[in-house]
Amino acid sequence: MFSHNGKISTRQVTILLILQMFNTNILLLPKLCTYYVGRNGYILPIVALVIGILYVYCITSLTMRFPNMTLVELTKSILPNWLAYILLTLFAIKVLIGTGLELRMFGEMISQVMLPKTPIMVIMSIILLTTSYLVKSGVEATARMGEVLVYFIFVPLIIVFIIIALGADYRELLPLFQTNIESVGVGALNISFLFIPLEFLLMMTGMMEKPDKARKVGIVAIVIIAILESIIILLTIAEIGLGETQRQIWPVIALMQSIGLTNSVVENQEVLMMTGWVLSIFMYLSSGLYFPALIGSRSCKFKRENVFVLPLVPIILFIAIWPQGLVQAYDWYLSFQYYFGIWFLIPIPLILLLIAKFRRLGSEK
Amino acid sequence: MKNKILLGIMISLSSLMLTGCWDNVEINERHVVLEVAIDKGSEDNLEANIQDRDYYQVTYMIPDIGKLSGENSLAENVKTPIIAKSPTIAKSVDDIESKTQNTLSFTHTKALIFGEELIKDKKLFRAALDSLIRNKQISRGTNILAVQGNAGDIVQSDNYQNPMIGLYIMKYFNNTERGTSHAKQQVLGNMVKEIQNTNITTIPEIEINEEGTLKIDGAAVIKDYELVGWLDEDEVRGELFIDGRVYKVPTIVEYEGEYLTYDINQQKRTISFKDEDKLQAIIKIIVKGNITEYNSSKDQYVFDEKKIAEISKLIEEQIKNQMQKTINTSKTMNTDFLNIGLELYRKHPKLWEKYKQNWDVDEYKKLPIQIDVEVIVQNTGTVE
Repeated sequence: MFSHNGKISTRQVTILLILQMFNTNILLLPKLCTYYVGRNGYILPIVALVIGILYVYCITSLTMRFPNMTLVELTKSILPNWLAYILLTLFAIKVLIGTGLELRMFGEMISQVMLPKTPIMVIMSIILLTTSYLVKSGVEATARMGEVLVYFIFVPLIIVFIIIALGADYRELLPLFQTNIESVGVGALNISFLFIPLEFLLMMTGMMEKPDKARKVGIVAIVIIAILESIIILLTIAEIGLGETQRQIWPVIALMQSIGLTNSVVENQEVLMMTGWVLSIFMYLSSGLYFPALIGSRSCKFKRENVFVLPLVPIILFIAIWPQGLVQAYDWYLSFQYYFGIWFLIPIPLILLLIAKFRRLGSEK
Repeated sequence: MKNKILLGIMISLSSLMLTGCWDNVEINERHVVLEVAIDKGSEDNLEANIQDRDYYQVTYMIPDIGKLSGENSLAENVKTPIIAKSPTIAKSVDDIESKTQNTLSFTHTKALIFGEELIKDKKLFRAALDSLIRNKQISRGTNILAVQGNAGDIVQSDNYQNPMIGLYIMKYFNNTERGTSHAKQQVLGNMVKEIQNTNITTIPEIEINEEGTLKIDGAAVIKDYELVGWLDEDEVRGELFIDGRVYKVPTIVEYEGEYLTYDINQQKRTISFKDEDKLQAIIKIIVKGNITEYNSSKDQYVFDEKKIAEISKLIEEQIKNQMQKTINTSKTMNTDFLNIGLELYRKHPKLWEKYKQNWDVDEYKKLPIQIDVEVIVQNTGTVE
């Protein structure tokens, strides 16, 4: 019923990666960055870019060695089967937990800002079921959806940012660079966890038409995201001030609410912005649901790749409803990123690469 | 056949998804609150259960949209005040829900007006602000005003130009053709930002004058969530000069026995600091404008460079006096609402470290502030 050849273009992977990284984290980002370096928070994503490039190198050095192979096939060819399955299960669990917590944060945000009376369970279920419908059609459909949605996400965003930029009080950014190097380093390392969706490259490289372009794709995606993040942080501090940026749970929402267009037809401009964000989260959740499902079907050598999609929906939902409230979800989300974020970005790809080199597996090129 | 039954079931089930969201409220079932006046409540029942205390008296003004747009309506008046007495702002919303037929909506609230007694009470004012910011229903761009007296009286007053005070205030500040010289606009988000930056803010004052007309001028000075004093119109003008926001301000001087009016169209301002043996602030402003009124005659005319230079000197003195008056007031209040300290921090953070400890104690009061004004007369209108 569903036609898919399982191959996606370089452009599609770039867009998918950008949308995956443009998730709920962005709404919290100014708060996190100002926590480390105060009003100079906008420099952190740029510094974090250096660490991000390291992640890309570690991941793509492994994946480009095994073109046309996803993490499932390459771990099986590098490690003994039992160990490969453990590793794949851990990766799938990690992605599922991350997706579940992301879903909860998203649900809480929508519930607080847009639909206070709608039960959060309904909000989360609807988006997850919609996501599963897209994901059932395979990676190609998801990638094409990304290509369509990217305009709906970024065009309103750019318009709103221009409006904010014209009226912002940039004196709020002064004094410049009054922070110590240590805070910048620690902050940049933590902020670099926003590039966690790069780990999807472990799966996507094998599905690319041109897997040799994976490194370029990863770097382009994180450069674009880092620039976007810097602009968002800068505008948030300039518009709502340092104090409010640090105090608000979702400072970017406060930023959206502070736009006042004189005599404008649309008074609640944040709704325009939120629409874009919902679409972006939708794309993140798609990947969070698709790749664990793909790991399952490929590990079990099923012909159809969407067998595990629907069974995973209640699991993600279960993870999402586990925290008692926003405070707990937020705490778990940050702790999860802090303790488990880096594993599939540097250590595991690096270990697999070393074993592959030692065993002379894959292409030396 | 099986497929058709399945399709039928799926179509029937899909109708469940088309029932709209929980938050859906028809527009004619909403009460759009256009202005909210918050006053300090009575202190008579402080011994009562905490739920029943009246710390706040909040007046929510609800317009009848039909009457407001000139159509027939069942409502008797164009606006209905609903007053809630409650221990918190959030509780007041709950209270008025029991006194209204429709769902209340704050998404289009245009003005928040604070009464004098409320802004004198640090604890209550701070809690009110927290509630307004925490509750994302009220926009951060909502205009904030203060009243010498009771805020509820202002929103219930008959304003002949526009019965809805909130709409009047919104139009007043949105009018970009109007000069900026009487009041400095304040919105919720910016006020919170200023308080977090310096612990000080100003709120424009609204009053009803003797003729029963609404007037927005002057300001309330707030320090550490508490009223310090009131500024008059001239002092606010000085504040606007130092803030660099003056626009279309008529400045009147006496030249050769006749009154001359100079209209400021543009202003630039810089604040610099010298720290030789003693810290000194230098405020330099450059204004550009036109002479718009002068009773000239054959012997008395202003279309002459020498005369323009003389007039410029007089205007400079006049502007300096206005600014000096404001600086004196801020020093008397010992409240740096002119943000000189903030400017010092932004430009010289290391120097600020030296002075910040005692800035609010006596450093600001002792600070010599030099004012330099440069007046540029661009033209004299269409006559010499």
